[in-house]
Amino acid sequence: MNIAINNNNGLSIGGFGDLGMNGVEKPVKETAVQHMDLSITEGSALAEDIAVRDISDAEFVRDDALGKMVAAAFNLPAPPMPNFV
Amino acid sequence: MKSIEEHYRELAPKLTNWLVASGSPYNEACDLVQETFLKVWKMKDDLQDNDDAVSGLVFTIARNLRKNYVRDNKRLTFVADMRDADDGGSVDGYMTDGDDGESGQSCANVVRTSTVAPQSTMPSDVAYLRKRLTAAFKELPPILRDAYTLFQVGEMSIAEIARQTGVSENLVKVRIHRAKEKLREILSDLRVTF
Repeated sequence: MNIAINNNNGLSIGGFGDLGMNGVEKPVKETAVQHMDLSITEGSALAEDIAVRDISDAEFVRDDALGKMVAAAFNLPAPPMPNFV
Repeated sequence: MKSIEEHYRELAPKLTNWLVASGSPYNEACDLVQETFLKVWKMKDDLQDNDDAVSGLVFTIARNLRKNYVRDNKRLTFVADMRDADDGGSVDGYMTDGDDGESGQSCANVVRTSTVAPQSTMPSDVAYLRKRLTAAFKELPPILRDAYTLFQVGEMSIAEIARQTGVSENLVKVRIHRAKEKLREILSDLRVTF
């Protein structure tokens, strides 16, 4: 298991097989701390960077199909304003 | 500096819906929203010239009030909510003018005072969607649910959520992504293209 840093795309991961992104942070963090002399904080940041890098920006819009469904379902009115005196 | 009334008009609808999405029955969410803003109003002298802080403060106070409410009542709001739904008195039951049950009284006037269309004019599938989504949110781990509902229902930015929850923006993004993946999986039977 290793983490390689290269000039082309920043980071590449070897040895994680088919773990997929969901399972990658913990081993990345552990490897970074144990073998790359990174602090736990730095290891966590590295793992988070790796986990987020393949997530499309489109995932962070609110008007995708799921978002529209949530917006339609949670469109309840607020209660009357309290008397602020 | 915005007035407390301006903050209320901007944030109260988001907060109400976020609380419902987090598992509070609608009438409980209404009470919590009002109590939250009364607390914020009492703190107004400390918030001068700091509009940006109000949003985070409102959600933090509401979250804590909700925790206290659940603890003090020694019950799981979600279980009660789903039981109400099974009895025909769901979250949406609180919204109907015809609902004279005790559970709906506290918010019965909301429909009349709100600018939002009365429930009777809303499509029935909205009630079904809300029930399904509330149940789906409950299946998410709390950290994923919080990240996604604050983003989507609370309409908070990634940076705001990161500040609120004390984690990095990247981690917030990862949590939102995973919450959405899980929700798509849970709700895959709905004929909606995600």
